[in-house]
Amino acid sequence: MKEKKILLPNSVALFVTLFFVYVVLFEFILPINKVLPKPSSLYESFIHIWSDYNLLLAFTTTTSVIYIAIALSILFLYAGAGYCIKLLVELKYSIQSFQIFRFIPIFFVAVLFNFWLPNNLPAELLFGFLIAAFLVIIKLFDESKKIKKEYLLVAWNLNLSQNSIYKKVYWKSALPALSKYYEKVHLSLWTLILIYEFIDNTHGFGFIFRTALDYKDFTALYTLAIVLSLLIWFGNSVIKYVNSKIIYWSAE
Amino acid sequence: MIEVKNISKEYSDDNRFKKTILRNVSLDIPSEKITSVIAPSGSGKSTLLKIISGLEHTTHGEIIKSGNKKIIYIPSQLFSFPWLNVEENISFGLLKKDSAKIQSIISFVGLEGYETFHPNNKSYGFRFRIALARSLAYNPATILLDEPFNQMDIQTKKEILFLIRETQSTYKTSFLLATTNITEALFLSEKIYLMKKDPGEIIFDHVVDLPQKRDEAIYDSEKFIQLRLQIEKSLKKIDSQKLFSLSI
Repeated sequence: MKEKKILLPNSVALFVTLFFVYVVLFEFILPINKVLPKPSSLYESFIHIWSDYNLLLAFTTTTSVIYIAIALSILFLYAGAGYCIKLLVELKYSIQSFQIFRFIPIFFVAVLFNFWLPNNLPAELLFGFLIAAFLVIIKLFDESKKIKKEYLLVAWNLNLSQNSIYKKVYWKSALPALSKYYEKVHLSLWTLILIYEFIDNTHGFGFIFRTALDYKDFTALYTLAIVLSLLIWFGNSVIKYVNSKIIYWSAE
Repeated sequence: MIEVKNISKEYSDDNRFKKTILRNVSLDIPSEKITSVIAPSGSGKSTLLKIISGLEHTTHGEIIKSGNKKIIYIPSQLFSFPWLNVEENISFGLLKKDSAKIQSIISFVGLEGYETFHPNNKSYGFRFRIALARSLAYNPATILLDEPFNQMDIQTKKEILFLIRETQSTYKTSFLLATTNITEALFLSEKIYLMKKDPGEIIFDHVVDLPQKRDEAIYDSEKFIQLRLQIEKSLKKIDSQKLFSLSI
């Protein structure tokens, strides 16, 4: 019997269709509206925000903060993994009582840090690093609880020191989940840094958002959102690619 | 030689609920021999093996072992670390790595050519070979096998059974096998203990006086069939209801 093929829209086909509908609807049928800007005005707006809002500087500032913060958190974790896991495992019950802090709205953290820290780039970088490190440490704690008992049995049976077990077993076992989690950290950092810069109102994409909002520059807001989506998508793809090349195993 | 004397193990849950897992278990693991414990699932076989290897404490009783050599426990699954390659898995935890010795063990267990291969998602047979090689790298007195054949296909199981017999005769290592399967135990062992559950208690023991060199033909030998019938008879005597999960 011949198999019936069901044609489902893949993401590219869906995107092209929606884009076509958008162009037809908002360029020709409803050029003036309060929902979405005209496609041609988006292009003009891109040139406008590039020169008037200094998009290149904002791009350099925000992406540097985000990716340096991620790199620093990786370095921190790599260098201190053994000690981190030791603390997390040995203070398991004390740390569990801090779980309540997970429910603090992350938006509030950005506001709070903005009050605490001075309005400059190193302070923003420090904020980014603290958030990234905090998120991955929490994940490391969760993963250390999930470790397969068999790995530990083998390591204990071979008389490995507890420090070796933290580095050679706990850390390695947690790595696949941790590296995958960096995709979430990446997205969270983008959100938080944008909020931070929005409140800070001195530099970066957040600052451009605030300025465009102050000027009620509707088209610029949309153009910025598109630029940011592309940047986040690209960053996410790079992280995924690097993960696939470095982490060749699963925790089973 | 390891002597297990009157081992008992109780678990308690906040002192409210106490459960006896093992009661007065006594057995001998003679040097350079393979001994098996046949018992149904949930009878405390793994606990017994963990106690012998020092991974768990007893509530009562003692373990007497001669010499300072290690007792290696191979758990029932996840025999290897997926982030290490075959060679790294085998030399895992060794303070002094003797490359020549590691290489000879790799050849012995049939992993030659796979030294830099990562065992992630490989078959249970492949990963068991790694675990066996890792145990041999420590030059152990005894290797404890916790239901190693559970997830192996028939062909792999056959290969591993021969490999264990060969390991025992080449490396002069003693083995203690915990299993639910009479045929596996008979093929491998020189002595078999039968354990009941709730709580785990040794009820019978059988000496397996089969020839030292064993091949597939042994399954059809009169002696093998006779021994199997004897063991089945003993199992029926214990408690047919509690041991129904045993396989032949």
